[in-house]
Amino acid sequence: MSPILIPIVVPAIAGGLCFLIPRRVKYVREAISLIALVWAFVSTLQLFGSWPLAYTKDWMVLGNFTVQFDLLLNHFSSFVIIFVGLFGLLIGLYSMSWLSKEHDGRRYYAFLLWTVAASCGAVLSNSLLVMLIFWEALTAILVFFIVLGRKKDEAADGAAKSFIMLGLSDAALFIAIAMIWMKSGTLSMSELSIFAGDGATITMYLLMMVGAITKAGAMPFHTWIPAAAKGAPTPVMALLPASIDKLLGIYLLARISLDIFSIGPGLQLTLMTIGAVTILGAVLMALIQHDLKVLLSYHAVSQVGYMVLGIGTGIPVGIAGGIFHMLNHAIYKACLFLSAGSIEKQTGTTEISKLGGLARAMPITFAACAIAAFAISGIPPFNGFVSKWMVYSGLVELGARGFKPYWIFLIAALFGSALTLASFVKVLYSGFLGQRPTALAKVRESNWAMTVPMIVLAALCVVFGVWAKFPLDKFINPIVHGAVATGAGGSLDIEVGFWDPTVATGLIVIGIIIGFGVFAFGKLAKRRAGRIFIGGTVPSANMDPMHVTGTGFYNTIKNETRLRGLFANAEQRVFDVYEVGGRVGNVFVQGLRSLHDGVLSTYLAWSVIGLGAIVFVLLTALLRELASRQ
Amino acid sequence: MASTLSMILYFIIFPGLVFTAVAGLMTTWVDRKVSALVQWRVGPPWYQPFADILKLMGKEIVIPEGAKRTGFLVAPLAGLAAVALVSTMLWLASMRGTGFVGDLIGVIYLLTIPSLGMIIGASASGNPLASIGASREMKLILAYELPFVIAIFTAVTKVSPMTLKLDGILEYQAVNGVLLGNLSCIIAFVVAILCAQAKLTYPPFDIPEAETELMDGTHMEYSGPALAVVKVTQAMMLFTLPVFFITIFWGGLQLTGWGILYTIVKYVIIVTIIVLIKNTNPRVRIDQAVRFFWGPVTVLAVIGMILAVLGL
Repeated sequence: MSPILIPIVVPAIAGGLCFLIPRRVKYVREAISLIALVWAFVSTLQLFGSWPLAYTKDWMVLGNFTVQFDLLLNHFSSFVIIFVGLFGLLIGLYSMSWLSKEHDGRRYYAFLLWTVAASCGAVLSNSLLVMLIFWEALTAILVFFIVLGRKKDEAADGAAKSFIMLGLSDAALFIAIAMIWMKSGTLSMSELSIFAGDGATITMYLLMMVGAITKAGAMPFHTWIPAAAKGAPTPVMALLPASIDKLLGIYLLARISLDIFSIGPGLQLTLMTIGAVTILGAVLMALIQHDLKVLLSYHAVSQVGYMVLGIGTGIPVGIAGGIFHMLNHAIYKACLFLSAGSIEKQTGTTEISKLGGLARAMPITFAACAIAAFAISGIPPFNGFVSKWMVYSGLVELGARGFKPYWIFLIAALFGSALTLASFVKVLYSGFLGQRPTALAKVRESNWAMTVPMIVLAALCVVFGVWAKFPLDKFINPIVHGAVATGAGGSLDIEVGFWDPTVATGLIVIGIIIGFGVFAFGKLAKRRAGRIFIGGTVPSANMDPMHVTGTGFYNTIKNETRLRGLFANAEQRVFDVYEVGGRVGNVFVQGLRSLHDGVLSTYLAWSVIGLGAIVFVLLTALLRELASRQ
Repeated sequence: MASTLSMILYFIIFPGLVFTAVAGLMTTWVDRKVSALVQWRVGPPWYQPFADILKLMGKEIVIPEGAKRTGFLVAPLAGLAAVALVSTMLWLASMRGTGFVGDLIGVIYLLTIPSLGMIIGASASGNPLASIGASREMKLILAYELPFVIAIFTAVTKVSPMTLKLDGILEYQAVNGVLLGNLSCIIAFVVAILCAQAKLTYPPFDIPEAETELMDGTHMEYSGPALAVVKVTQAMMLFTLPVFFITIFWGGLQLTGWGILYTIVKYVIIVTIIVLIKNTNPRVRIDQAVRFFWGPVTVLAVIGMILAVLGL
């Protein structure tokens, strides 16, 4: 078997086995999944560096149209499948401890393995049609996955919404692919090169873009992610919307924007506008959420904005920043969802108002969550800062080249970053700091199967930030040529900016050590514990009345006059494409409904009219065919 | 190896940690002296801030029961290290004419770490009043960050070719005259000073500390050397922010001959403006602050930016 097939075939077969093993058999399913996931991950690592590697086989022959099963390993796909494999493995490990008896492990592991297989297939395929098939398979698996959630009603709602939105976007992708075939006569991604200049080509590009950004979850096609978050099992959120869907969506967006199409300033501006609006809109919604999972899911939307914005700049460093942000986002957002899952497992809730003060009880979860939270907020020296910095630099370079309104996008991105920080301060405060409610007095840390994935992901946040040179040189720079010159040591040097994460981190660490020296010099040994001071009142043993929840942290912002209307509208779902589409659709349905009067002769009349129309179409086609033969 | 050692020395001694701390504490003395003069008092002698810190160093640290100890103690230290790093970056850009560690975006992000450190530290203390302070501090960051970044990028827009590198901005000013000579940058400078007031949590924006209602809010549970670190960090911010504004708007620091005097004059002017605003305004509520920064100040900043785009 060609090595390129291993990451697709091995998990697919293992998934089938998991599905067939009866529910009562224990441990076998877990063992099979773990072996298959490790195998797939190792094979993706081995594939790295062995491009170009192709695999072609005639798959279906329909008349003179042959569908080729066409896989191609290049630099970009190679690095994406490594991370698909890594996330699959880590979340597989995590799930072994997270899943309880109420969950259906048989289907869960099968879906998990099939997700990895289908994602690797979608990334590796070189034919748009093969990619579409894997892409649709992922949509279906995601829907079945969400249904496995324990809150049945919310899970069903989320699944329905995801299915409709993703299904429609897949349809857009399908139409675009059909149009591309009509125009170019080929579906091979490596051969296609279309200039998006006229109406037809721009339509193709926009349709493909809709497919890509709906998967990634950019506005206005984002609402399936928060809906799914309400019901889906938490590791599923970490696996699909947080990481793999981002990798796939942005991978496709980058491929269509860089390889398949060449896009002009108008489409670039469209992308940048989508990016900026997504950053600000979604993060404002995140600020006022009361449920940890939903809050995180809005950030999963907001961060897509940076990726789309970066790719939209069309400047090498901006594009590289967007792609690097995709990778970084997958890492820290998966880590955040896994921490949320850890809290959920130990406390039974993700309601922010019921949590608090867990840092001492769950130190590893807290540390991982804090590192990922700082990374997503772009606090230097973590990885989120580097990729955001690259996106900003791309915008400034765009401005330097004469694009005057660059600053609007730049300010949106910078301010969005501050709002992200605010939202994660709320998460850290209300989850881990502050007073612990007495109801949570007996909470313990999760076991190793859950902490190890979190530790690995948090460590990656640090490594990719402090030694950003490594991922940039290894993964990103070869895709976007000449984006970032990496200088001596770990410094990153570009035309408009400069950042040396290694030195910065070293010096900050030295500063903290000196500070500890000051503490030690100033009798840290003589420290003593005392009661907190609350204006002279003696705090009682039961601190629950003193518990300040994080729920109302940003009510001042919510009630800000200029934003109040926006938030009210958003809560009424005025901006939800799904809801708006539903309302518009309802008008049509009501119109059609009036035709149903229950009288048989009316129905027969409609049938006859329909039959007549079909016959008419067929006859004209036949006549035209005959005429052309003569 | 030599360069690593010199980098560490730059960071620890001059112009980093020690120098910034001493200069910052001296600036707080200027602050206290000017405040005293405004209020018809004599004011403390010049060594008072140092005596205060020394006294705090000799005291014990009280850690509240139920506090998350590591977060409580480490968070302020991260703030201290970040300000020291920013100060080193700014001074070296003027002294050596080359970039050190990072560019403007690095500075903007590093400058939020002291506030973030205070928020995390206050939350970790477990004190309900401190958490209210933390919530207000975060909202204050949200409020001033929007006009602040617009103001800073007004300067970037004026520089041609546009650059984020501090040395590039200084080079442009050395050739073409200081950016404060432009109308757009004067507006941006005013906006930046207003935001500095909030960044330093000085009146009228001392909302997170609010002595009369929250009893020092975010600082509430800190004592002894930990409180000393918090106070020194604030003093270093008071020193670093004017240096930052001088660097990007006012031609940077000249460190030879009469330039030294000129630099000191520029510095004292900015500090005096900040201290005078501090002494003549009562504290506002947090919602008023948010409305103020997102309303008139942002509008002003946007006007400055549009002027800069138009080339004024």
